[in-house]
Amino acid sequence: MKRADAGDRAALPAVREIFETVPGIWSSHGDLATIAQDSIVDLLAGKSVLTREGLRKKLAAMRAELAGPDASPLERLLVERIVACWLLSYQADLAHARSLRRPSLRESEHHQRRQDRAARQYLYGLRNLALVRRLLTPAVQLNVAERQINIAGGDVRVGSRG
Amino acid sequence: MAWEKRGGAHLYYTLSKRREGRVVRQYVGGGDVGEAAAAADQERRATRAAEREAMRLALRRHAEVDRQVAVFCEAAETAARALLLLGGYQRHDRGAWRRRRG
Repeated sequence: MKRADAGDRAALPAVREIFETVPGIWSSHGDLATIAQDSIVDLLAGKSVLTREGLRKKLAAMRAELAGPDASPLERLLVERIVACWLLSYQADLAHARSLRRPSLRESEHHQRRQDRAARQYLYGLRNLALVRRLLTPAVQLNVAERQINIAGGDVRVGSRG
Repeated sequence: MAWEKRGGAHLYYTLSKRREGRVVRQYVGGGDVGEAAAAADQERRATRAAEREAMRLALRRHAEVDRQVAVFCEAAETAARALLLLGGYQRHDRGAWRRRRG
């Protein structure tokens, strides 16, 4: 990955192989999402079944709205990232608000650092999804005779149908 | 915050407080008054200790969820970078993603 990132095209086949042959690579990423999100829900809901259920519905609605009907595996992964970051930001804000009942400089600084970090991660996640959609998702697909033409990110690619 | 012996065998309860940067000892009293002050003091200390412990646990849980989100974000970022590279894009020195030439 590092070599490919640095511009070494010879590393691309290895990267391609990882995504095409490693079984469950997308589900393992999904597991990481579930672990992170469930931890934050536990922290927020505690013993409250009502809060837990409310949060789950909220997250499901957020996923559906962000992903849309035909999201690719990468888009679904990036949506999960946004959801996790939104949850963390929400939890950080709530923790800070609760701590104001017993003001302490050290505690306040801790909460502010968490809030700043979580907000940055959330915004970065949104930007990343927009970037991937702009560059990788075909904006227009034309089927002309036996040819399929995809236009994405300002580039035109022609291929065979089927 | 201690019992002191004064005038022979009598015990008196005292409180140590910080005033204008100095520790000042305040005499409370003996007998029932001293006992009540000692009990209230003990309860205050126990409450503060419980709050410190609750804070310590909260910080530990915060650190754990922060770590889990960071690990997941890193994995998602790596996957996105990989697919952008495979899609024919690259970026120079963390700049904008551009279509690779050739």
